[in-house]
This record gives sequence, C-alpha cells and structure tokens, in this order.
Amino acid sequence: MSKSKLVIDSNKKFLPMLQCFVMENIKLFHLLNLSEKLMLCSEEAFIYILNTSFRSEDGELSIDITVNEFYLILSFKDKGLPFDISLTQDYKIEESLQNISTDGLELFLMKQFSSKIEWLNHGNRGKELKLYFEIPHADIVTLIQNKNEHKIEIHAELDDIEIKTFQEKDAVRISQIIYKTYGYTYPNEDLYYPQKIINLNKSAKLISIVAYDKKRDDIVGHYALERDDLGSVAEIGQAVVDPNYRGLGLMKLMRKKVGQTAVKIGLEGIISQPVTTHTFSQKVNEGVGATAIGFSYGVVPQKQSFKAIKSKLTQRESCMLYFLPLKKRARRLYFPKKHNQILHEIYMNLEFEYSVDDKKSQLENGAVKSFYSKNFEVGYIYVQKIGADNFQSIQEALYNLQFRMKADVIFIYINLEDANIEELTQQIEKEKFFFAGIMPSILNGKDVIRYEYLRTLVENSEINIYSDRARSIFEYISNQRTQKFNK
Amino acid sequence: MVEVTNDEQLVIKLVQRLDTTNAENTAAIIEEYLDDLVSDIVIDVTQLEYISSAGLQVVLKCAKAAKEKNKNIYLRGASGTVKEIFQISGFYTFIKEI
Repeated sequence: MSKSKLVIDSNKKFLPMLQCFVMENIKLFHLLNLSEKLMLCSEEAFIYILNTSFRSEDGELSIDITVNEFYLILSFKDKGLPFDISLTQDYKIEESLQNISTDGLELFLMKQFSSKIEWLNHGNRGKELKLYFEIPHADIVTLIQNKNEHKIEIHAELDDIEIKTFQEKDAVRISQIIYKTYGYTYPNEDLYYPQKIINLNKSAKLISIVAYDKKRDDIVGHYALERDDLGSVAEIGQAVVDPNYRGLGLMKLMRKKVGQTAVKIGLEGIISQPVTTHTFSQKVNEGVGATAIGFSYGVVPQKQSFKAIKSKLTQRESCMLYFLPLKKRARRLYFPKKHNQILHEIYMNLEFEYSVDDKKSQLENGAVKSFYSKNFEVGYIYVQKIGADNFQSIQEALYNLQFRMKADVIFIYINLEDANIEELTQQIEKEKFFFAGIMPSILNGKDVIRYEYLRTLVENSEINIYSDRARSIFEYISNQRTQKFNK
Repeated sequence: MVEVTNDEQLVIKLVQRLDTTNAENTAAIIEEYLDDLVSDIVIDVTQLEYISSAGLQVVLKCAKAAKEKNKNIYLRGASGTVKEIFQISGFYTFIKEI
C-alpha cells in the first residue's frame, strides 16, 4: 500500500494544483486508464466540498491518495462547516428544459465515474469523503476469449478428488467455474477476475479452498472464508462446484476443510448466509453445528441466476443467518428491552457465556461509518461507538444510501457491548428499520444487534426454512417487519 | 478556451478544458451572443479534452437561451469521456448531436 498527501486552502484557484497531484499519482502507479475518471472526480469532489463545507469561509482540505492492490482511493478530509447532505438536491433531468438545474450534478458525476463512495463523519475531527477507483484487471471472459470451450462429459469419482488450499495457478479455473455456473450474474464480481482472487488470497481477505481433480489436473470446486477487515470472524461462501462434478458431495468436503482452516488461523467463528429458495444449504450449515442468529430479507440481488439450476430469481433472495462458534468466549452485553427475550434465546442457542447489564455510561462523541456494496446493492451503517451525535450521523448515512446510492436494502449494526444502546435502538425503531438478529464479534471484535430497512418487495411465500429453531427466529423477524409495514 | 463565430449559426467552439477555473469567463464571453441570438447554436467540442459539471452549466445556459428564442442547439464532435459525460448527465435529451 502506498500513500501521498496534499494540503490546500479551500479556494478553487488550487484546482490545477490538486489535479497535478492526482496526475502525478496516476503516472507513478501506471494507471493512465483511470486518468479521465480521476481528473473529473477530483474536481467534482473539490468543488462539492468547497460549496457545502466552506461556502465563503476560509479553511483547508487534506487530500490523500492511497493505492492498494484493488483500488486507488482519493480521500478529502476537512473541518469545514458541518452540513446535512440530505439538503443537497438530487440531480435529475426534468422534462422541461427551463426547469433543469445542475444542482447536485457534482455528486451525480462522482457516483457515476467512481467505483464507490464513502462518507465518514469523524465527529470533532471533521469529515471525510472517500472515492474508490477500481484498478482494472483482466476478467475471465477476456482471458478465455478466442478459446472454444467444448462440452465434455466427465465421469469423475470421489477418489479422483483432493480438497486442498488455494494456489495462484488455480485462480483462472475458479473464475471459469463461476462463469460456467452463474454466467455473469454472480454478485461478487471479484471472482470473475483471476488476478483479484490471487490478490485477495495474498492479503488473507479471502481464504480459498479448492476441489482438485488429480486425474484430470483440474480445479472443479471452490469454497472460501471472507473477512474484509481481517477480524476475528469470517463469512463463509463463494461456494461453487463445476456442474460436471455435482453429486459427489464436494460442497460438504470443502466446507469441512474451510472449517478446519478457520480453526487453524484462530477465528472465533464463521458466519454464513445460506439462501432460502431451497433448504439444502441451511441443512449443511446445521449439519456442521452452526446456529441461526438472524435473517436477511432480500440481501442477494434478483439478477443472480444459476445457469444449470434455476433460470432467474423472481425477487431479491433472502438468506438465513448462521454462526458457527469456534472458540469459548465471555461477554458483557446490553440488550434493548424490546428484544430481550429473542436475544436471550439466540445467545443460549449459541451456548456463549454472557451477562446482561443495563447500566448507562457517560455519552461521548459517537462513531458511525457507512458502506455501500455496489455488487449487492446493499448499504451498511455501522455504529461503532454510541454517542450523543449518533442519530444525526445515522440519518445522514441513511439518506445517502437511500437516495444517492439507491440501496435496495440497508442494514444498521449497533454495538451490543455499548451501555447506551437502549435510547439509540428506540430511535432506530421509530425509523423504517426492523430487528434482524445479531452478529457476534463482527464490529471491531464486538457483538452487534442488526436492524434492516427493506426498500423492495419480498414475499414470505418464496422463503423456505429448514429447522424449527431457525423458523422461530425467522417468524420473530417476519413479525417485526409486518408491524413496521402496518404502522 | 472558447472561440465564437456568428454567421448562419452561432458556433461556440470549446477548446482543451472547460472547468471550474474557466467556466465563468467562458460564460461571460458567450453571454453577449446569447442576448442577441437570432440563429441556431452549434457547440463544437471536437477539440475539447475535458469538461466538468462547471462546463456543463455553461452548455445548459446556451440550451436555455436557444429554447427561449425558439432556436435549436446542436453538439458537434463529442467523443470519448466528453461524450460519456454529456450522455450520463442526460444532456442529449435537449441537445441534438450532429
């Protein structure tokens, strides 16, 4: 990772200096194919901040450029006027030319020409606008272009297969299996780019396990642990088996190896989100000892389809949320009164050692972060620390995810180990959020309570739940959602 | 920055960059022609390498002036990212490409 910094006054005459700084970084990292996007977004971000944070006030901006293996990140930090982004108009083309205004156009162009945008409120340390630009890699279709793929009948036996850890040379084949199985509908686009699979494994953000056909020297399946923050829990997923090798039980074998790997690297547990259009994956999860801890309505985009299984999803896919504990641990938690009973039920099912407290502590400045997943069209708001200014930061993040990013689904994660949780959760419940379970150790090692705001129609009739225990949690969450609708 | 010829059509030729640093001056140069507009407008961007939202505001101003005087506005020579910016911003809904 490499970083450079520029500090300039809040005056538009410094735009050429800013763009020179950006251009020198582009040259340094040989990213000339990003130059036009970066030039445009650097100007739009600079002007947007001058107009919203400074207006006629003097001040300074700190601009950082960070380059890692996936992104060039252009970050603007300022301590200018606090502003409510909900007051910024959305740019739109009106039918009547006389009514068209360029208000909001800066932000609109930034969204269109960057890979993702993050707004961070650092409390009394100011605020930050981060623009991510994905570093281009060749995708699998480019790599296999001009190679005719012949349909070959393979009659493999289980003895031919070895389940092993990932090696760089496996990456192309993993992308090919994803493409063969899902076409171009798999929501995690990273898996279409072999170089990204290699880089993610190098950084340990992805830990891939593969099924290898020794007889035919071929990779025929993939399963992985994912942890963006390199934290103490990982999400299991990215599971795929070459259609020629279905029926051999490879998923189960890879799942076992993934579990062993998680124990080996010292993880506290594994999160999984099996789909609910069928119950097979939920059964696999419960078979290895995972416990239902929540439910995610519509978390997978409707565009995903399985080439060989089902033509197209009829609505966004909902997932049961499971946790497989791998280590003993003890926690002091603060349960919001409204969900006290279900929270006890979930924690007892997990067999975690915990105590519940209800003492409040002194409120300081809070910390809220938001993130938008473009691939899944899902927004996340993380309340890392509960403070007096949280609710306003949450509302700003919510507006941003809802109206600018057009997120179909928004989750909010609140630290369950923070003594001041009651009041904040009561405020959240007055908004459009409904309870959606818990996640252990997910937020800087802390447990969270999750709430969901669903902005699309998802019918319960297409949801299938495997076990009674999971159904009890699903029904509780479904009732919470219904109450929200009926308000 | 900008070259203007006013014959059968008002041709506004934008050159190199139209951004925050020069949009105001460009708008001021064009304004006097827009006040007395009697013909269609052609925005020639053949030699324009870069345009930002500040530059688009200048083009929008021209489009509104043309509409007010019941004239047409055309865009000539857009390519690459400049064309993409016009497209994404929806400017082709009121400006015709020639």
